[in-house]
Amino acid sequence: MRVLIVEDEIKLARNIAKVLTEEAGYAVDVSNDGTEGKFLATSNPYDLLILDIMLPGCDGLEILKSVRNLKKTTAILLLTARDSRDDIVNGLDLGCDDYLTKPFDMLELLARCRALIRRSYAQPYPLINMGDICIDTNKQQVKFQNHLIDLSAMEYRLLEYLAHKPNQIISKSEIEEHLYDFGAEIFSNVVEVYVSTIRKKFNAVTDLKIIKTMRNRGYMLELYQDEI
Amino acid sequence: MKFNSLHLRITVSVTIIQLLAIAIFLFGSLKECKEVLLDSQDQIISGIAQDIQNLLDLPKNQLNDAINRMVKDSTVNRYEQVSSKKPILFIVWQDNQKDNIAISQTDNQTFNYWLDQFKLPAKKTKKQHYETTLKQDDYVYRFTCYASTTLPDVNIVVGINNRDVEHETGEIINFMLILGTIMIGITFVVTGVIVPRLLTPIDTTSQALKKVSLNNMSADLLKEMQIPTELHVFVDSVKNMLSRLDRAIIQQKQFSADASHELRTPLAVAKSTLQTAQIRERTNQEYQAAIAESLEDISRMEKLIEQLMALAHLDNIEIKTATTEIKLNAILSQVAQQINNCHNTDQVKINDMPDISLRGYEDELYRMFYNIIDNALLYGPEGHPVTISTKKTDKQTAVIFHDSGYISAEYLDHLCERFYRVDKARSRNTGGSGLGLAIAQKIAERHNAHIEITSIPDTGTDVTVTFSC
Repeated sequence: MRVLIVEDEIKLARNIAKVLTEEAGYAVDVSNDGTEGKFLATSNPYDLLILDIMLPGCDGLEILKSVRNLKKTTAILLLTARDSRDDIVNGLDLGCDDYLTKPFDMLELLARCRALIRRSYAQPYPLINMGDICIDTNKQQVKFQNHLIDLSAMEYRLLEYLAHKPNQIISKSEIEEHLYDFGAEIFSNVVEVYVSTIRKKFNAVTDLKIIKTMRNRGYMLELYQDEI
Repeated sequence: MKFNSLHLRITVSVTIIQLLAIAIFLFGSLKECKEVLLDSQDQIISGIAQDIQNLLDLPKNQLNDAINRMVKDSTVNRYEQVSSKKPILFIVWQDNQKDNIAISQTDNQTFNYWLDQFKLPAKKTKKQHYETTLKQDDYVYRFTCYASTTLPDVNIVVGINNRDVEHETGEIINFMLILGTIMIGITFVVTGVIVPRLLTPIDTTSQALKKVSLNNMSADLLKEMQIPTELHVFVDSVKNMLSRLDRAIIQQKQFSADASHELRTPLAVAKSTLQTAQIRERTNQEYQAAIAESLEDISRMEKLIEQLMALAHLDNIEIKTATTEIKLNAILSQVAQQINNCHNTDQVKINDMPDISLRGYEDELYRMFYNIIDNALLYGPEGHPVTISTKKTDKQTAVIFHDSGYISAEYLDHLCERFYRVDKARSRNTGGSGLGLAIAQKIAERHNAHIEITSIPDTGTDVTVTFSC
């Protein structure tokens, strides 16, 4: 999952990014400037935007409006020191999904981010059950039947992303866009490598080929026929 | 009804005016009435005097009886108005004769004595008619003094008491008093009813004013109302007051919103830093860094709170002219030295200046100069000097702070506003609170001085504090 934080308090943005990366395994982009933030938000497929309102260059509400004007359904959380009822109502009415006032609790922000992303993939329940595979998005744990599958952070991100869109072919570039932040160096075969390591880890407990490769089109996490 | 009620005042005034009008009318009509009554009485006694003169041809020894009889007859026949209870008094005499020709026969001897006395003044007058009002017993008597036309030496005085006139006028007074009282009563009641109706615009206005509250203070409330001309000035001043209050409240709200925003941000940063450190096991170095960063944020908050308090203090204390003489040079060099020591530079330079002293508060002036220089260093180009010079004329003393930075004109007017920053992103890093110049401005106001900021590209920015002496 890829998140953009637009926040002019450099240290605050850095802290949030750190927690989201470490605790939720998200790919996080940070912008400290409104204009740059607006450009990033409108030109990249983020899963969640965390916007401050008072920003140099272009304010958070402006970014919110331009994202919504492009008919993007990206989840947006306004994180601001403005706490009056009017500000909150105005923010929500302009199309943000959640509003959190500073100072805030980091764990609460984290939980809200998870909830917003779940909801944006129409998966409001934190446990994703796909037949024998069960993904706990809160604990970032993957189980096959009763076996715990120990995945690395990137492997988990990839599997979770595929699980949010089951039975759909997802292109390699889409996966790259959602799993890597702006600064990450992506090697051309990195997705293939992660898919194959995931398969290997599952093969220790099952013979099933977990992720299907659709040649030249992408990957798909498929439910068992009898489970549909 | 309270004494200072407009309603009562109007009612009382109208009643008093009515009372005066009735009194004037009463007095006037009474006088007129009395004159008419007295006139008719005069005519009666003149008529009797005429009759007496006609009888004077009779032999002298019969005269007294004849006149008395005639007077009695005429009392009954000719002059019905004259009641028998009101005897007509008369005396007829010839000059230089001791005995009277005729005198009225009454039971009361005092009358005759008194009529005798009357001879003297009557004689002296050359008038044909002589009228006077004299007091006898309880009644006022009215006389006509008549010098006979046929017998030159004979004088005739006829008198009648005024009881009727007194009685008539008394009745008129009574009638008028009753009528007047009724009229005043009616006026009082009617004005009591009408006045509140006339005063309804005041009620409506006060009802509208009642709706004014902290959240609803726009003068629009009073816009739609039909206001009588007399209330225009009042309502206008209320409107002015409301819009001034409204502006002040908006400013106050804006200020507290800004203040809370400015405080929340460092708080949020510090909290997030500590929580990020706490959320999982970190190395000792990471913990140390988190603590150091949080302390930095806390000192930022401390500074902000200190400045907010300073501003609130300056807002609250009353403006009083300072009496202490302050040496400007001394303060400026102290400030320059402190800032140079603090930043470990020699950026702040003072040009040679004459000794100038002015009245003021030393700590406030210190703070003002400090803020201005600090601001120039924070937002001006790095490493460039700030030069301080003074200019003194007869009426003014100006302190000029010059640096080589340029601020574009659109920002200049806002520089002294609270929490205003030209470049927000940068100020966060420089640690400015956005209150420095606002405080300086406030202090300048208290010292009857004003701050002017001018900026020319390539030349630099001048902050001029002008004190009027």
